[in-house]
Amino acid sequence: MKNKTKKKQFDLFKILYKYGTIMVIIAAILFFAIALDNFFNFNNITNIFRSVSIVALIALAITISLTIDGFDLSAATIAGFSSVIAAKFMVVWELGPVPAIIIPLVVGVLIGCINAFLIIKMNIPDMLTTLSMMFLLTGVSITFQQGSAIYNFMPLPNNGGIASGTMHEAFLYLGQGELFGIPVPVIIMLSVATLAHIFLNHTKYGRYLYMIGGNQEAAKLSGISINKYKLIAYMISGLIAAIGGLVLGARLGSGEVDAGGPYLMDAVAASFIGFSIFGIGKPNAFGTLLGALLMGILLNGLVMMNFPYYSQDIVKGFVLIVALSLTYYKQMR
Amino acid sequence: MKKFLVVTLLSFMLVASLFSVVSASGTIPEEVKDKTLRIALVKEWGTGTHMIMHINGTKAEAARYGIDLSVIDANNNLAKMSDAIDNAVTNKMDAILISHGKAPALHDSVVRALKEGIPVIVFDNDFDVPYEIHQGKLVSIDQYDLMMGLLSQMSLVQELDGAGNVVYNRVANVPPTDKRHRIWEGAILPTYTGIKVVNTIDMGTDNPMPKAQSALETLLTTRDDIDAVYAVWDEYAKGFYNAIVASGKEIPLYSVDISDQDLAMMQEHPEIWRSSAAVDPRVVGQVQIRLALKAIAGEKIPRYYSLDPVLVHVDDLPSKDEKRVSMSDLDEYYDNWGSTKAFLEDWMLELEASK
Repeated sequence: MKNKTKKKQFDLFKILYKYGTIMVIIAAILFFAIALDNFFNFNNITNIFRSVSIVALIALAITISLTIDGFDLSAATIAGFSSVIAAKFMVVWELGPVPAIIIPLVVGVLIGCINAFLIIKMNIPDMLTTLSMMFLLTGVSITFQQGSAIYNFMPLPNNGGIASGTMHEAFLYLGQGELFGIPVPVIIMLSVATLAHIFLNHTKYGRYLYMIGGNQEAAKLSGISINKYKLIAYMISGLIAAIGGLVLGARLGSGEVDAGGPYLMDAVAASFIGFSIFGIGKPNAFGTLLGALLMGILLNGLVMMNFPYYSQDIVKGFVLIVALSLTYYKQMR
Repeated sequence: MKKFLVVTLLSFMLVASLFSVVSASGTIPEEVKDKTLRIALVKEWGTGTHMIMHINGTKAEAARYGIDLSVIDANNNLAKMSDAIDNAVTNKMDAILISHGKAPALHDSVVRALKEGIPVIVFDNDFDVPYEIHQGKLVSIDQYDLMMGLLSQMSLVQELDGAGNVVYNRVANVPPTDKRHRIWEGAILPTYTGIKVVNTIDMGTDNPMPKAQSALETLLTTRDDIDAVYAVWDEYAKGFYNAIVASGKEIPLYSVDISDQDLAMMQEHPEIWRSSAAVDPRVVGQVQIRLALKAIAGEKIPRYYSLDPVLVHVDDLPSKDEKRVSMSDLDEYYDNWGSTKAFLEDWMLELEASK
């Protein structure tokens, strides 16, 4: 792949390849900092981090699935479902915050298992499996919440009076609380990203996942149990997506209908922008985090500059194209 | 004495004529008598309190007259919606009710239905079909979005005493929110020049609540000069509400449309979410069924009809400790809520009694 004779000629490309995405991020920050008075204050910086926490968590879930050359399209829906389960447990079934946190995580892992089962045993391609799972879960979730959002003091169906449970403070803390001036969702996002980074880069499991993603046949020949690691990847993906869902539910303070859905495409974009960071050229947790941040920065600045959503989408699409060109232009040679 | 006689005579005549009118219209038209009418309700989406209440209102009204109502939820899929209309035509349904959808995608199916003589009663959408085709059997109902815009925006103007910095919200290219926006742009801003829009948030229609929340959080953390927030649609208002509550500031919020969830939030922080202009979605269903019946019976129906909106103001409602209010309770506080007499003919009551 690497063309050493032409090395000098392509130095510029090499620099762009390695640092291009970082440069785009810095350029965006500089631009907004100059154009807007209040962009660079501490509150707004934390605000940006907090606003990307959910996208980043879902993107991290997708990233894990990408390492084995899979693709978890159901991650955003798992997140939405997990927020609904948590809300229903607390508001309708009046259970405490502990089951409302644990059960959605368990459900997330289980859905990961089902995804893995269908991919490994039924041999359905990853993207189709998780696409089907996405539809399935959207429907299951809406059925589970009986078509309506779940929120404090909601009237119960069939004239059941007003729901007496509420979203517990301890649960809401996950999305709305602060620790030493840093929002809790940001702490959760950074911890998960760090753990994912360590897991992927500094453990045997992580290296195996990358090997399977790089060349499944080669990984198989070197004695790696591919099915086992695929299962692990989808379980972790489901878990992280469910964590994202808890943050989502806590931030909204309710279990909305299909709340996770709209995060899917942003999360996919963040994961792919992540490929291009430092020229790594493969899915990685740190890059995904930066990808999510880049989109958060753009959204934040553009909202302050009064851009409507469709022009935000133009900018987002353009940045994605730039970042992806940097990755794939190099890979082609 | 003579005058008295004349008056008496006249009143007798009046009463007599009234009776004659009543008895004449009191007979159930042949077209609807002694049969089970079949009506299809085709909805772009069927989730959320608002849409569920619309379905329930339609079902309840249909049940009164013994109508066999089938509800098709297209789950935001316009192709599916158009298929559902085509199916209703093939199955020779007696009337088709539509809620939302995009006109270009459904136009052909609707024309097919009208050509077959099937009445089409549309809510929150309109079709450009000439009279030769629809023959007076097409109605476009809206929630009187122009009026809802005016009511909600005047509520804001009043409570700001006509001056202040407003974070405005519009959702471009969606018929109902565009109508609400026209009032703001064409009437409110030129009249009350003290109202300044410091920012306009538009995040589209795809599940905007979390996006609206993040967008307003951004503005609240970076500016201190916001006096009020306006939401052109309550899905945005829910996100705005969360952002304002989280900011710890006391900024009033005004909006359009209402749901049980909105009411719970309003009662939780009456100082924040002040008012919302809305129409009871159950009433939409009632009117749709009645217009369909009239059309089947061959009576004249209007091409356009706007429902009367209500400004739900938190000051009119009890405090949260007294009573948690839901949408089905609002008729205790507002006259136009829960049911309407619009298009309710005497023969419909007879029809109801005969079932």
